[in-house]
Amino acid sequence: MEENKKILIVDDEKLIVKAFQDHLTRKGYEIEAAFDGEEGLIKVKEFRPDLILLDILMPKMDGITLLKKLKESPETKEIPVIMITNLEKKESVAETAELGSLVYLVKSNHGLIDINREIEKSFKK
Amino acid sequence: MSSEDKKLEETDKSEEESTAEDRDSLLKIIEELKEDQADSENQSKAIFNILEDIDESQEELKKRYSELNVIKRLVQELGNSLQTKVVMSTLLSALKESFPEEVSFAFVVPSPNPANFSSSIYIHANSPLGNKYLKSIKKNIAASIETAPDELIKKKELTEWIHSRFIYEFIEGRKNEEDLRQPLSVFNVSLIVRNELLGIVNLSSFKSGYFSKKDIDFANTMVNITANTISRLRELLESEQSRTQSLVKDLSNGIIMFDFDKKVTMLNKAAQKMTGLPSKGVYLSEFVKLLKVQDGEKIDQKIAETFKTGETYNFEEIEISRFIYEVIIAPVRDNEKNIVGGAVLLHDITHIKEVDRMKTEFVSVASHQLRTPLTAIMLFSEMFASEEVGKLNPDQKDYIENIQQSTKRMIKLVNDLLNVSRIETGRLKIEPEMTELVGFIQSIIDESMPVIKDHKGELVFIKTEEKIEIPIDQTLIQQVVHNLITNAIRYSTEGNCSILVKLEEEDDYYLISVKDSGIGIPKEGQERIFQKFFRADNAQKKEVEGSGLGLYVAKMIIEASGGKIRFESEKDKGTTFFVSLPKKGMNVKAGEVGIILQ
Repeated sequence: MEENKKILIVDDEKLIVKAFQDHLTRKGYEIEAAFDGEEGLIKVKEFRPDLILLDILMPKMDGITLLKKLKESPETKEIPVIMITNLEKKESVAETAELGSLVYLVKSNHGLIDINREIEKSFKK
Repeated sequence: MSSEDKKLEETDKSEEESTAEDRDSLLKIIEELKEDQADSENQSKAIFNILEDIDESQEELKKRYSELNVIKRLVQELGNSLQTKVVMSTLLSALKESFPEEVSFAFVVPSPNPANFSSSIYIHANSPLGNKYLKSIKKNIAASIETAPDELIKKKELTEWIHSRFIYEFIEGRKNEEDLRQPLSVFNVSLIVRNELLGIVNLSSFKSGYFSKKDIDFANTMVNITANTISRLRELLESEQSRTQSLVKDLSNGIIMFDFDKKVTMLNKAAQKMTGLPSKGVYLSEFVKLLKVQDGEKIDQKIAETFKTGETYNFEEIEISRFIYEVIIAPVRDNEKNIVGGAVLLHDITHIKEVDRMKTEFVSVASHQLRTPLTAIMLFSEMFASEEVGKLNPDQKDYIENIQQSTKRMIKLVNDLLNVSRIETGRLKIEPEMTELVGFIQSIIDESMPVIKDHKGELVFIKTEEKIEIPIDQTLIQQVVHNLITNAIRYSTEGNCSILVKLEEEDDYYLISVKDSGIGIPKEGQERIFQKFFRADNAQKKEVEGSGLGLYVAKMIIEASGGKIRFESEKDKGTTFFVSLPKKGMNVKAGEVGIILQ
């Protein structure tokens, strides 16, 4: 288990954020949460996470726009991003992959086990 | 002196000795004979005269009888059509029967609609006619029109008629350029129905003094009968029309009728309510103004096309003051099938659209609002079950697992319902891409292997070819094949679960079959197996879970993409499902969304 890895969760669903936050904290990660895209962008700069869990449908700024901004900036473009969403659209899967996200997980179809596996995979690289 | 007398003189000379007595008596007899002869001659003359009279009246009777027959047929045939040209033709044929020879017939139809103004002189002729003859007929007809009373034919149309160049149209007979003769007998009869000059018939002949007063009277009688018949038929038609009109007036659909100048001729109650326009004195442009600019342009364009082509056009969604209408543009024809204007039909579909919107909204609510809390339940129960927040006693562990199972089942049900809704609203898209089918099916099988092993079962995959390239929508085929394999596992008893997946060619299709050794589908359930929410009795007993949507979704997907799905089954023996995919690949279908994979 790698110590002190920092993960930023960007999702407007408070309970989902809480579940991920509690679980991943217990796993030994340092967690920060943002509840919309704009807040996410600020938190990325302040918190400098090693990984971002990113939702798509959010107020103020959606996840795809945020992902675009992250990948455009040299400071943030290397941070791995895992999409966690309930939006099942082929287009968004393709779009986020093209923008450089690692993987696209549909929340209702994937449990914590799957998310853990993907997080660990990204840190092993 | 008669030869008889001469003979008698000779006898006198040869027999001079004959007595005077003899001679006198002979003369007497001769006298008597002469008288007798004259008498009989007179008598036969009288008889002959009588006979002649009888003959004449018989001819007359015959003629009257045939005329009556012609009239009877005329009336019958007139009932078949109210088209003026047809009526005139019928009238002409009837007249022709009564004037057997050497008569030429011509007629013109002054149409009340200038747009359809016909300048033809229709001709029936027994012998070929020369230019002089035709010109003379034309002059004669033109004179009849010019001298017709004002109330019979409108001034404007009259001038147009006179100025239009007549064309000779032979219905029967032909022209002969070399013939220089003119008609020597001519007369016209006008067909007037309720103050409207419907047509003029011209009868002519090469012979002079051909037509007797009787002939002219007869022609007039025929024309009058025709006029009366048409008048009666029109009355009938009008009462029929007024019934239709009152129906149109009270129809819940809005109807706007207009003429060629787009002047509104009728705007029913519903249309008045929908548009706020008055029933009379408006132009269609005022209706078009109520629409969005681009809608108005489209409708204007289609109206112009309707006038030209006579086609009907549909618009699915036109907004008028926040209501949504289906709009139909149609031509309006007169009883001669000529286009005389158009109609706009307004069908209010606001309510349907609202229901449709609510349905879409519900789907979206189900998709995002329902799945999000379910996801949260799933995540929290997963943390309990994995004992990361503390050790659980066996009961607690059991209950948490029950919560997890129910949550997963609920998510699956929501996903199934979403898929059904997407398919049923026609929003599901089919996006085929070139795929190697053998490897693709193998990958679906590989995914199911852990479950099959759990079930202590086995699966054999037989394929007749090593590589098949075919355009398919992978997500949809995965959904279908995965569902069939899952069913094969679920409805087999543990330890006795052998599944055979086959991929082979069958005519223009690739046939994928999934055969199991499971509980089978009972006969009484076979007909309904693809129905939404249907689950066979033995299936319900075997597995509590199951939405009854899997096969329904599979059938909808396969049929929408041009394929076929069927099955063979025997209770307690097993079931085989066959999916045929067209070799040319799945149909492409544009849509908004894909399917949610389980």
